[in-house]
Amino acid sequence: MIVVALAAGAGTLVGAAAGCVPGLHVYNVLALPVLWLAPRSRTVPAAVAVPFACGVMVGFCLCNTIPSILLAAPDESAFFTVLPGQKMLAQGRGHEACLLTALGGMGALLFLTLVAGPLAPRALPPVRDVLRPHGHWALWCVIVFMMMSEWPKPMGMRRAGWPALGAAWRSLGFGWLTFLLSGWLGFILLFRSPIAPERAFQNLMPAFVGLFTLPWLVLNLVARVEVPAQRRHCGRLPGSAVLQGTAAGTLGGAFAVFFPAVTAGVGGLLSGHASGLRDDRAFLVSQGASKMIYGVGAMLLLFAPGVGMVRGGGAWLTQSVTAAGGLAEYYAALAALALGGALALCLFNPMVRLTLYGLRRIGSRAVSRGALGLAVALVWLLTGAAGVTVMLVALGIGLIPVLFGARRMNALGVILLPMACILSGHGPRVAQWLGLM
Amino acid sequence: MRGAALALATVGLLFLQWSARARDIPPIEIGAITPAMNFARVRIEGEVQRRAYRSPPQGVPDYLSFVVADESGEVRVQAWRTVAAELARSGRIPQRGDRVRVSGSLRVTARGEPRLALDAPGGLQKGDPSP
Repeated sequence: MIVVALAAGAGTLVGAAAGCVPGLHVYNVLALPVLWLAPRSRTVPAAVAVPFACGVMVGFCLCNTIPSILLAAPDESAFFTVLPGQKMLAQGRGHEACLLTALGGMGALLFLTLVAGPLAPRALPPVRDVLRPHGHWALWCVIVFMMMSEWPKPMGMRRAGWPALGAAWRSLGFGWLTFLLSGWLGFILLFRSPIAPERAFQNLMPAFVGLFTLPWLVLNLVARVEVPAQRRHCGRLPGSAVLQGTAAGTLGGAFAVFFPAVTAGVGGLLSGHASGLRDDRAFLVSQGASKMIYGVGAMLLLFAPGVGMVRGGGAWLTQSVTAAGGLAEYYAALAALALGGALALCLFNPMVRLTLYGLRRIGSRAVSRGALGLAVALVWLLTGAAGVTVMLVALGIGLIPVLFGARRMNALGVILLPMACILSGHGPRVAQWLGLM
Repeated sequence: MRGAALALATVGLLFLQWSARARDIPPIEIGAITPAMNFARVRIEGEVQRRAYRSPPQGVPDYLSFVVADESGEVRVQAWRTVAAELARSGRIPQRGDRVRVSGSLRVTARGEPRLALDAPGGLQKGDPSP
C-alpha cells in the first residue's frame, strides 16, 4: 500500500508539473521511460508502474487546462476549452475559468473511482463485445457530424450571388481542406512513416505537436498579446450547472474513450452539443470532465481484468513497459486515482497562482518562446530530424484553420480519416491509391 | 502568413509523399524488435515454424496466424477478414518450412510476444527472398 501511495504521489507530481508546462504533453513524459527501457529489454513492475501511470494521468488531466486557458496553448483535447476560457481570461476571470475545469475534472474522477471503476470489470466486457463491430460506422458518423456542425463565420454584407456564397463557404472550405490535408498526413505516417522504426511508437507525436500546440504558440509570438490582470474572486455557480456540466462531459468523454481514434477533443465536442450547454461556465465544467474521463478512463480500460482495451497514447505507452491484468493491480489503480486526484486538487490552486505570477513577471511572449523551444526540442529528442520535418508540415496545416477562421478540430483528420478507413477495411486500399503500399 | 501556411502545408505534404514513395519498407531482424517499435511498418524474412492457425478451420477464414523465425528470434504474423480470406482464396497460406518475406505493422507489448499485423495480401511473399 505504501508503494502504491508513493508511486501515485510521484506520478501525480510529475503529471501536474508537466500539465503546467505549455508545449509539453503527458505522452511526451511517458515516452521517455519507454525510450530508456526499450533497448534494454526491461519492464517496470506493475506494482510501481500502474499507480505511477495513473497518478501521471490524473495530475496532467487536471492541470493541463492551466496553460490552455492562461496561455492559449492547448493540446487537441483542450481547444474547446480555449474559446470560452479566452473570453473569461480577457475579462480578468482566467483563474475562475481554470477552477471550473478542475471542478468538472473532480466530478468525473469521483464518478470513475466510486461508480464506473468498481463496476467496470463486470459491466464493460459485454458492452465492448456489443459495440466492437460498430466502431467503424460510429467513427464515420463522428466525422460527418464534425464537418456538418461547423457553422459559417459572419463575413459582413456581400453582393448577392457567387460572392456571397463564396464568402459564406470560405471558412468551411478551409476547414474541410484542413481535414483532408491532415488525413493525408495521417496516411503517410501510418503506412510509410519517415520516422525510424526504432522510434515508431511516437509516429504521430510530431504531427500532433505541429497541428495543435505550435500554431497557438506561434500566434502568441506574432500577435503580441499579453494577459490582462486577473482577479481571484469567483462568482457563484449553481449546483445544477455543475451537475449538468459534469454529466455532459462524462458522457462525451466516455464515448471518446470507448471508441478507437475518438480523442478527448471530439468527446468535448460531443458533450457540448449533446447537452446543449449555453452557460460558458457549465461548458468549461463539461470540458474538464470530458478530459478526465478520457485520460483516466483509458487507464481503467487498460487495467480492468477481462476488458483488455487499449485507448489513447498513454495506455499504449504504459502497456509497452508493464504487464498488468489482475484484480489487485486494478484496485491499486483505483486507489492511485483517488489519492492522485486528492493531491492534484490540493496542488491546482497554487499552480494557477504560480502560473499567473510567472506570466506577470516573465510575460506571455517569453513563456511562449520557451514553450516553443521545448516542444521542438522534445520532437527532436524523440523522433529526430524526420520528426521535426513532419512537425513543420503539420504546423502549416495547423495554421490554416487558425488563420482562415475554421475550426481547429478539423486537424484531427490526421487520426480520424485513416482510422475510419482502416476500421472499415479500406485503409490499405486508400494507401495503395496514394502509392504508400 | 496565410500564404506561407498554405505553401508549407501543401509543399511539405508533397515532399513527404514523394519521400514516402521513394523509400522501401525497412527490413529488420526479429530479435531487434523492442517496445519502442510499436506501430512500426517493417519487413521480416524467415521460415514458417508451425502450421498456420486459421479460424474457422474450414471454409473462408476470418483470422489467420503463423509464426516466422529467423536466426535472431520469432514473431507471430496475424491477418484478419479480407486479408485472411484472400490468402486462403489464392492458396497462399504458408506452410511449415516455407521461406517468406512479410511486411506489416508491429504490435509490441510487455505482456507477450511481438506480433506483426499483415494488412494487405501483397505483404506476404513466399519463396526464397534471397537472390
